[in-house]
Amino acid sequence: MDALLEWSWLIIAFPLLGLLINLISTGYTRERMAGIVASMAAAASFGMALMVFAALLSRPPEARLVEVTLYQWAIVPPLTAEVGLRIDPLSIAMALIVTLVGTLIHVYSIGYMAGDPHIRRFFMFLNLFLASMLLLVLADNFLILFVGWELVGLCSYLLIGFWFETPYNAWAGRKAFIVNRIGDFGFTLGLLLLFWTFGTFRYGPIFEAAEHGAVEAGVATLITLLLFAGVTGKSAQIPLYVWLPDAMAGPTPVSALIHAATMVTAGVYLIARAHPLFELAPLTQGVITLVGAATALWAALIAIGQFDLKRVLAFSTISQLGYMVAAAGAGAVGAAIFHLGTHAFFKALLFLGAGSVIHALEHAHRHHPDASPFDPNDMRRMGGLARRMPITFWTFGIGAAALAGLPPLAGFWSKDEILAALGKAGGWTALAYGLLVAAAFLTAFYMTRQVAMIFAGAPRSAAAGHAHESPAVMTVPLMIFAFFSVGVGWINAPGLGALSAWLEPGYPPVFHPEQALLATLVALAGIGTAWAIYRPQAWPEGVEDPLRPALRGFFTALTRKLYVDELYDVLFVRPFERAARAVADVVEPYGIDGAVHAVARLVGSLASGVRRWSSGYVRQYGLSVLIGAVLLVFYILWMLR
Amino acid sequence: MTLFGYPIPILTLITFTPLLGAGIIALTPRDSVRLHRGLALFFSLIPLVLSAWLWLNLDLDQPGFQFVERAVWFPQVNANYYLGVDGLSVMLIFLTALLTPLGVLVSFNITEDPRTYFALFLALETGILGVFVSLDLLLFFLFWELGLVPMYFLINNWGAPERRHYAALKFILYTMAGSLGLLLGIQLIWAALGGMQGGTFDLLEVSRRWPALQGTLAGVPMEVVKAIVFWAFVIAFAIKVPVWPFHTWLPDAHTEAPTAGSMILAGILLKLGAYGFLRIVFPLFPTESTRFAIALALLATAAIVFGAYAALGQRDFKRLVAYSSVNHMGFVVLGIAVAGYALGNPAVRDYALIAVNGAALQLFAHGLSSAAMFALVGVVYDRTHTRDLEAYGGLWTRMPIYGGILIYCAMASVGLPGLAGFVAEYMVVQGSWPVFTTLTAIAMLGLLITGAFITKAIQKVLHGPLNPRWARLPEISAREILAVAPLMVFMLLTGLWPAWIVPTLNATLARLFG
Repeated sequence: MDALLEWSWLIIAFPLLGLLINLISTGYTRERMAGIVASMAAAASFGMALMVFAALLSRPPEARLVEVTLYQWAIVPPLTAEVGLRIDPLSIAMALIVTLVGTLIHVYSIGYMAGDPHIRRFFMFLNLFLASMLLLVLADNFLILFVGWELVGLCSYLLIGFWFETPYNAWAGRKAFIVNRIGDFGFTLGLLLLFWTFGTFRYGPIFEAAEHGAVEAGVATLITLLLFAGVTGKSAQIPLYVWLPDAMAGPTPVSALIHAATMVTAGVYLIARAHPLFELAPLTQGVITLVGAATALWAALIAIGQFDLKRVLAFSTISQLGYMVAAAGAGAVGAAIFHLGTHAFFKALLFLGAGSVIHALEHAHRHHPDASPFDPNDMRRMGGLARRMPITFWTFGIGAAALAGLPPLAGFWSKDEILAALGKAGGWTALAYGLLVAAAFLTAFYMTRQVAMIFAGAPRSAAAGHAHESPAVMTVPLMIFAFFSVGVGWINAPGLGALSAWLEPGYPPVFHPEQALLATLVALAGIGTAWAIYRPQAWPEGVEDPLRPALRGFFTALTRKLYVDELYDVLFVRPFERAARAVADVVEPYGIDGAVHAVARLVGSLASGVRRWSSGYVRQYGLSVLIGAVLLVFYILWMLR
Repeated sequence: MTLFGYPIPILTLITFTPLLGAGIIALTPRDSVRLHRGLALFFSLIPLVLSAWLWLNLDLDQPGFQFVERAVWFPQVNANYYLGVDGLSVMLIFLTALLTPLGVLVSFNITEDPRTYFALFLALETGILGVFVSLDLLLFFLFWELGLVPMYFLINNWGAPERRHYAALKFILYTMAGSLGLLLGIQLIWAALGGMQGGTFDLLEVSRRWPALQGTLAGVPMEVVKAIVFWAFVIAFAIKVPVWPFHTWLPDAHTEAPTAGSMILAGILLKLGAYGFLRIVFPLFPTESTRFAIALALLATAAIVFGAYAALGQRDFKRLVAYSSVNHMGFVVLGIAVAGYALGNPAVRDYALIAVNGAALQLFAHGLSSAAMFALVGVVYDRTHTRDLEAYGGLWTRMPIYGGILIYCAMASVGLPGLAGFVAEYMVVQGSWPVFTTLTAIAMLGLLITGAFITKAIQKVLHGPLNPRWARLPEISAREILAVAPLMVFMLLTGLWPAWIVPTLNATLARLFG
């Protein structure tokens, strides 16, 4: 079995192989085969991850760490870096989540993207996305993690702007790229400092040094805060979460991939991976916990005022990432990864369910167009889809319930573990706990609102009235994800605790009945409140949203995402662009080049007799070269005299 | 390597084969265009093959210069035809020999007097290669000037119609202003070292004698003479790099030059300045270099930030790419500044070695990415006859392969990990961080702005709805792909496995610090 571990780089290589095959394949069938090739590559990667997992499982818990060094990357002593993989419970758990969810999304995309003229490009990007994420997860040092980190950013840029003919999509991709680079600015500084502090990028020696207290607390705080800046970009936390709601401009499977398995989980993984480092910096941990909890509540609040069904899910992702970040910040790494895993399944389910709804509405609209402007994402123009799309309805409902945290679905167990971990600590963590409980209420509220608006009552548009269930290639992945959304929470349920035993042997998951009861009651209260407001009987016809009259101006603010984009625009984006234009249009031509021209004029006026020579005519230039050469010859002869 | 018992003068062969080709092309009939192209390609491929051989046969463990050729050239002033290479110059020779045939390939669509064009283009290569092989200061200067003249004519006669005369004149006057000081400095060194009695242009001998030289020259204290020569050299090389704020000739020359001319300008000519710092300024002026290193680092940071800002504010595609060179060469200067600082501060030599290796690698990486970007700008310019970013839009629809290649090269230019630019820029900042911490942190802001301007370019050119003006635009041709593909291969190779090239550079640069 150990020989197998040496081959674990194949997990990353398979998606790259898929990319390569699609890149060089030619001929008529290549567009139709692209999805199949890419899906098989993803599945092979999952299979390999499974085998590596089995090989690791067969070892005793204390021997479940294998480092595979592939090759030397660059050597200028003392700067050394290897391309190497770290196969341990955490990285393999992540790899399994990424490849399993990724594979299912690949398969779903075959149906969703069928007929798209650029389908081959789509699957190439999707494969690259998967490979980049796997590189990030499996790397054995911070530098290679950063390579994966940036490549993931590139893929999201390419895929969010995949339908680039629409300027908004291209803009959204660019926004994601630039906002992530702001975070990466901090991350890179952290990386520089990290290397000069520890003299290596490798996790093993760094964590060992950290555990032996070989690093000052101040330095550790600075490093971790800088790394966390990167996390706020990648994992969409305050203040850099603004790219994620626009990231749903990409095709829906991409949204599912970004929100569930790849990209946004990278930041949580980083904190979990480097937790020995973060534990040296209590200040950073406090900041992370509070930022995470505040993000959870803030995003949940905004989600209430959204009408775009994917945008609701986007804000719910930000909110749920807040839970994970808060937990990871508080040192509850197991709980964070557990929630990351369960969230991957039910969020993928919700996005693919949303994709099924959008697909159905677009199809219906094509056959039954009505006069009003059509937006397949607008929940105000849906309603009554439960009867017309039963599979989508039931699976989406399961996903929503899992997200809301209803027992015994997946989200219940993992969210509970986070709350339990935060609840027992005091001080600032207690504040974070309070924020997260409030966010749990809002989560249940907005998911109920969403389900009610999409599926309950009567159709509010011709398209919704004529929608049909999606084809099997789309509904089967939905059912698989629904199955996992129900069942996956049990892997770390009390008494079983398989995930904890895997990640942190000797620390079984804690279960506090009173905590579980509280969380369930909060969720039920959220559902009840939302249903009271949004049930069809309570919702008069012609009212856009029953909450608007109740909240008035505040609801408008919520629909405008609390004006954060506008604020950033005024504070950062426009001054930034103005500065660029000022440099390009004023400083360069009139300032610097103006000085150059002034010097040229000065020289010219000092030697006005010679000025006519620099008229730009080649013949005159040639003459001056000749004269210069003659003078040079005389000069040399004089030297030699 | 010997042939029939005689050593083969490999460096002479590499350097003068293009000039021979230029001469042969000049003798061919004026209208046999295919012959001109074929000859140009053939004579530019020979140095490529030879320089690859040269690299493979370079002995990294051997200190000093290799493949040395020496012949008496100008005995009266003790100037010699003295050639030799080490790791740094071999890398740059290879880069030159790689970019020239690709530039020839790009230039196949030149219709206006292709005979003269290709002859000049090959003569240009000889001028550049000569700089990299020269170990004699007078010879160095000769080749340095030799490269300017063909480039002037390439811009002036084959450039974009609107402002080519202005750009060509600005290019030649600005650089000549710099090289005037270079000539003066070289002569002062010769005179100070004894003039007719023991004066020398031999770079190795000068490096040994000059830094410790005391006394006076024509009544002027040696300290003053050294300061004059130092600044004369620094300004000459700073204009060439260009170091901010001596850069304003660059956007004009790069933008107005024909595509292949821009490739060579950005890909290699800028590297001459950095090469001058490493090869001449540092060995000759260790004390002065240390003293002014902080100023140089400051200017490097200004170049990185303001260059990126200026690129972001451009409306002209080619000008945007040109300004990105100011930004990327800023990282080279930063690495060089760290090395200069370390000359007098042995404590930071470990850091400086990393930074200066990064700077040298950045010469290679930027040579690849800037040449590729200019070639790709040329591809759309040839089809649309505009460089206005607002005039494009949605070209990816018409040119799917072109779009993929453009994004790939743009990402290499922006320093995406996995491609060459990242390794180089990362090594520079990693090395400069402990030495100039604040400046490095500010320079990293440039990373943010580069991301903004390169995605702006992609958005304006490729994204959005297809502008109906370009509804019949043809896809990138096989010839054009062939001109970029080798660069893409080297970008990926260097990004994934920089160890193929870094040891060559390190072997040379490590000796910079004795």
